[in-house]
Amino acid sequence: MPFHLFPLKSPIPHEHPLSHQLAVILLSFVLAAGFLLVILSCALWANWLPLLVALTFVLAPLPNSICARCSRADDLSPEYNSAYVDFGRFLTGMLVTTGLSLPVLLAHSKLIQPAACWMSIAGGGLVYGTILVYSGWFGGSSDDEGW
Amino acid sequence: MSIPHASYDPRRVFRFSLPRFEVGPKVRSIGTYLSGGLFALSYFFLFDAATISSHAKPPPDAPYDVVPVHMSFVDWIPAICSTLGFLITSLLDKSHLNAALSGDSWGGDGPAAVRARVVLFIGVALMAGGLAGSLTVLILKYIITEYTDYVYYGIMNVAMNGGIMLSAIILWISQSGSDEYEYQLTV
Repeated sequence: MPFHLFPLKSPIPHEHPLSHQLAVILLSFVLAAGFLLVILSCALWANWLPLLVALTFVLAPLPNSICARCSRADDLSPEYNSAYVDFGRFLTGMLVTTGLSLPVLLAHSKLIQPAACWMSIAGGGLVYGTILVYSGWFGGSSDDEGW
Repeated sequence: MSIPHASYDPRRVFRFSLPRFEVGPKVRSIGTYLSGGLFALSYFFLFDAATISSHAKPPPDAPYDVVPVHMSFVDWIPAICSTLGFLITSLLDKSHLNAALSGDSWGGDGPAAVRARVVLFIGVALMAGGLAGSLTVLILKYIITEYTDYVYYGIMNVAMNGGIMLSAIILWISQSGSDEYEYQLTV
């Protein structure tokens, strides 16, 4: 889901670097749990197809950041072109839907077990959510697009 | 006798005017995400049918039979048409078209507007042709044959083409608002 639609206020006051570190540690634990779920969903049944889900969710924040850079490259030119930003959003929507529906497809055609399907979806969602929350809290507080 | 409304345009052809979708930047971004998701989802409908078809096994009581119906290239032709139509319709610059459709006195019938209308016609015709082709495949290949156990492939094909058409509609509506807002942000 688009992160900047729900402008999440950072719950961390800026004068406490310790709580920053706590948040980073917490997020890294969540990220590790997500990767653990994905890898477990592959390794338990010795079938490494669900690893594609992790790849998709890791790639999912990339189009928005790349396209935000592209459209911002000519800040001073009067021809602002929002097509790059829109294309990035379209690609993000495609990638997230791919990550959600690929395990369902694999489970439906009995290539992986249903448990592996749900585990990889949960793990991929954790990874993607971690990336979104991290970039929302720590990266890009100056611009509206964030990433 | 009353004075006509200010919004009345004497050059109008139809009694009802088309609804104008004025969407804000938030609806615009949500619609774009939604359209992308729907595009990928409709492709996954077709991929699902293709994967099941390629991993289909004969029934367990006759394990040496051949699976009679597979998906072939014919099933992919409507998808190719729909995708081409989607690309053409979405890559079209809407500003020419808005000038052409709203009946502006300037830029109404310029060569750019004429070309934009022709390209839009081709794109929508390709998408509609894809939907009709998928219905044709569903009926001819999966319904009126002796093996009717494989209707799922045809239904997924129709769902895929309908989904791409819906995605194009959502993208069109969400892009129809002006991007003046973001323009003001950058200046």
